[in-house]
Amino acid sequence: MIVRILLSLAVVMSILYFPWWMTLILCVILLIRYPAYELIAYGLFADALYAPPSGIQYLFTFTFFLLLCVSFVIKSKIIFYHRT
Amino acid sequence: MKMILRQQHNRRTQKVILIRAGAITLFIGVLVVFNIFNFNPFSRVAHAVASFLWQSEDALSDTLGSVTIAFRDKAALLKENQRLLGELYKNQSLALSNDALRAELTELKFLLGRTTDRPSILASVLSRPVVSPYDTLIIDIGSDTGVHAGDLALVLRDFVVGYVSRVYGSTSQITLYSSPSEQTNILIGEERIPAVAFGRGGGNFIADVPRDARVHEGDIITLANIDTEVFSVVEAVIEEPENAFQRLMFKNPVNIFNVVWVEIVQSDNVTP
Repeated sequence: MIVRILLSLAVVMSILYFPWWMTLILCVILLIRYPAYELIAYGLFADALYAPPSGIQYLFTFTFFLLLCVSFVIKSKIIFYHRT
Repeated sequence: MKMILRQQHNRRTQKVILIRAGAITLFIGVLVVFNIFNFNPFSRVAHAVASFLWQSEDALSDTLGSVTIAFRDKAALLKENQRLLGELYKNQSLALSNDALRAELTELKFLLGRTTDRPSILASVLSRPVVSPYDTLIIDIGSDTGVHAGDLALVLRDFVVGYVSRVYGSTSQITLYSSPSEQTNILIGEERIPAVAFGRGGGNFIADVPRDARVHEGDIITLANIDTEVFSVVEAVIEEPENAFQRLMFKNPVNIFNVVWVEIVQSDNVTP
């Protein structure tokens, strides 16, 4: 649980201070270990901060949502995956 | 018995899949509708939280900077000081000639009945493009300092990079002209050939002009208004025999990934 909280904190900090690709890497790490539904909220937070009023406004949310779906599919296919 | 159990299990699995698919479709649908209507309900709260964290980080880095400077090598500091002094003298003379030209230009515009003096506010950049894939900047001033949506953002006084797209209490968002969805009216070269610059992200642009238009590499591009803010400089001209247009490629004259300060000036209805 502590690891999950720390990783989540790292994702939020990376949204504010680090390049976007680092945020993605942290999200993948979080998803490998946990079914992190909270990523959707972080995506909404990032989009609320950075998205311009015109064009695509939910890039982070869509990406995180896609990652979440992909992680569920992959995890269900891997037999030895440790379910948390 | 096994058959019945398997059927029940299959039915349950199908139900779970249907519920998940429904939830996913609903979620994507809501986001698409929000996107279509430009509705971002969390932006004000997110900016309030983030601006507090960004400003705390600024204060912390200032303190750390003043502590670490005491331990730096004096000889290196002296050398750097000499180099910076040299640059300062060089830039001062350049600034003087720029000021003289600017004064002359203002006077000429005044004689022609076009005044362009507009108030400006200096702002510190809290977040820049490398942090987000969107080409936006977040600055530390907002409606409490008199910033309005549509105001222009200038870097180093003369280079226009974007416009204020969202204003909050103590922060504002600047959409850079190089943002992929942006189209900006520009004038190219001494002949002031009108064109539209399409943002390509990361400070890059493209524009198409008729093949007969005389455009060369190094031509200065300005915004299509009375002022002379530099938009960019033509970096490459691509001509293809089968195409009636020539494609121009250019980028922001300043590195948007390193911008620290921007000047916000009132727009005279030049919003793109």
